[in-house]
Amino acid sequence: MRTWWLLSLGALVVVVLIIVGALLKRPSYPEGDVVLVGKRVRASGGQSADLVERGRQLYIAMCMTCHGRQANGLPVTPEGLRTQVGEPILARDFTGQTHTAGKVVFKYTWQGWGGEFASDEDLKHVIREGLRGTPMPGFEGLSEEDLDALVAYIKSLHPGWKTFQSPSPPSVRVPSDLDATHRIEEGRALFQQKCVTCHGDPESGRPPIAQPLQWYYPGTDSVLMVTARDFLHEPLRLPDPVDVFRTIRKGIGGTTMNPQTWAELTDDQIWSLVSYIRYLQRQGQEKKQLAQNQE
Amino acid sequence: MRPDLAEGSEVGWLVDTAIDIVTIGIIVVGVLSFIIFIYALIRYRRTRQPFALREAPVWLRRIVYLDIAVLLFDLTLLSFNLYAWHEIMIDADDQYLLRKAQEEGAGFVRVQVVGRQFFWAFIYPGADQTFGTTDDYTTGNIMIVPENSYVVVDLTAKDVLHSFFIPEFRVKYDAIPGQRTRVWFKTTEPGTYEIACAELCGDKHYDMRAVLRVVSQEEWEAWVARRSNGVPGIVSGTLHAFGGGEHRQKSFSSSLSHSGSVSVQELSAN
Repeated sequence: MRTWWLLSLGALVVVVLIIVGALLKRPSYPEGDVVLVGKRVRASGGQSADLVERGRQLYIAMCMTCHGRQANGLPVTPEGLRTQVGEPILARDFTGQTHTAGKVVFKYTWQGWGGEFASDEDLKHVIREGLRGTPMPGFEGLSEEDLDALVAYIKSLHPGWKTFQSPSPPSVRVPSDLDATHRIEEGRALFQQKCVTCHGDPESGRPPIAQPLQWYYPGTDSVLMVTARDFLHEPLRLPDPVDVFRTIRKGIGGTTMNPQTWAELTDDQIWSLVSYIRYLQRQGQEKKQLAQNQE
Repeated sequence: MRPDLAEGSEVGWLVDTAIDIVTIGIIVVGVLSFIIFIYALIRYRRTRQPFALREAPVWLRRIVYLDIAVLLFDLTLLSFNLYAWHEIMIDADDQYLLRKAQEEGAGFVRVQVVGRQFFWAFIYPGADQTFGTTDDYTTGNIMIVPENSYVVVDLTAKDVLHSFFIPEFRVKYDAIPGQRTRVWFKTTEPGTYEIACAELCGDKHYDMRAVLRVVSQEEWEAWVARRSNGVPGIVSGTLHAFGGGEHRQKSFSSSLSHSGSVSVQELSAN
């Protein structure tokens, strides 16, 4: 009888010790792994810390699986990310820890080629629209407050945002004869002059002469291939005509898409290029559909 | 309490009836069992029955009828559930649904759904109805489907188990990494419903919530046209036509008045 009593007392002590130990040990949730600048949520550019914290929670819920626990673009998912055509890609690095040597480079901005950062509107545009052909979905249903919070959080991840002045976007009008035949013809001629070096000639199937740019992530095996878009087989990241226009006019930061090379083109000529690219997209789609129907 | 069944959910009543059969049956069986149990406790208490009976009393031997009742209940439940399973899962293959949609003049929509920690991605085939072409598009945490349509959901997950759950349509199915599963439902009226994750998938599981928006046929066509880059004449101004909110409504009307041209100020106002 006495033995049983001692045994149960001992078991009780062990249980109490386990409970106390579990309470003393700090739980390590993935949230703890999200490294913020200065290890703490900080207010940035007049944003309240509450807003940034809300953005952080949204980031953990919706962005972390692809953009990484440390917001450096290394996905949590073991198999990594791939584009629709099967190329491995990495999500945007918000901290500048990895491939761009301390910089953050956003590609779809009115800043364009020389710039690093993006205006709030550019960031929200990409979050809302998503990037076609990549795993980035368009979060159309997000409320304006949630978008504000996410943007505030993204801007708390790199100190450079503090001095960043967002340029005001120029006024652009989509011409009414976009997709007209004469525009497509003009665009084809311009494409042959200005674009084939990097993009290749999609209609004759001639590959690009230039090598694709590579970004290496230090400490990992990840390589980011920045290849020029194949307009026939791959969707445009942002298919909107205004976005295509902006990409050609302003270039893409962090890549060799430097608009100085075609600075002499007028806006009207660039709209012709937009028309031609839209034409190529439609051609690619029809070809693919035809191939699928034949199967 | 369970939420009200969505208007026009074709097979939701099967799920509800199965749940009702189980609930009522279990209440009946449970109450009967407890009555016998409590009666036996009182009737054969120690002061009245100091020694164990060598064999069961006569009334207790008749309890086998209760077993038969339970067996009948089980058979009812099993047969009904097999019928429901057949209606929802086995019979309703794509050909069947497509034929049914054509007979009823209803739409037929395919969406690929990918569960990720911790959001739902919805992949649409675009205007050409073919997955893998350049006009595919992906939305996050919002699923948009037209009214009066059969919606076939191709379900998978990228990291861990998730479960695609639309309470109002009584749709719940596991999203399994590396596997494709398939569920379907039918919409009738426009409306907004909740999509949840019904499988504990991590510490933000509670936040893995999406919106199902059933829109009218015109809205759906406008949305597909805008989302599919191949359609000429659709510009960004029409983007957020049904994103809700006064802000977006304004930019929609202004883009209409420009008839196919839109300024960037309006775009950025979006």
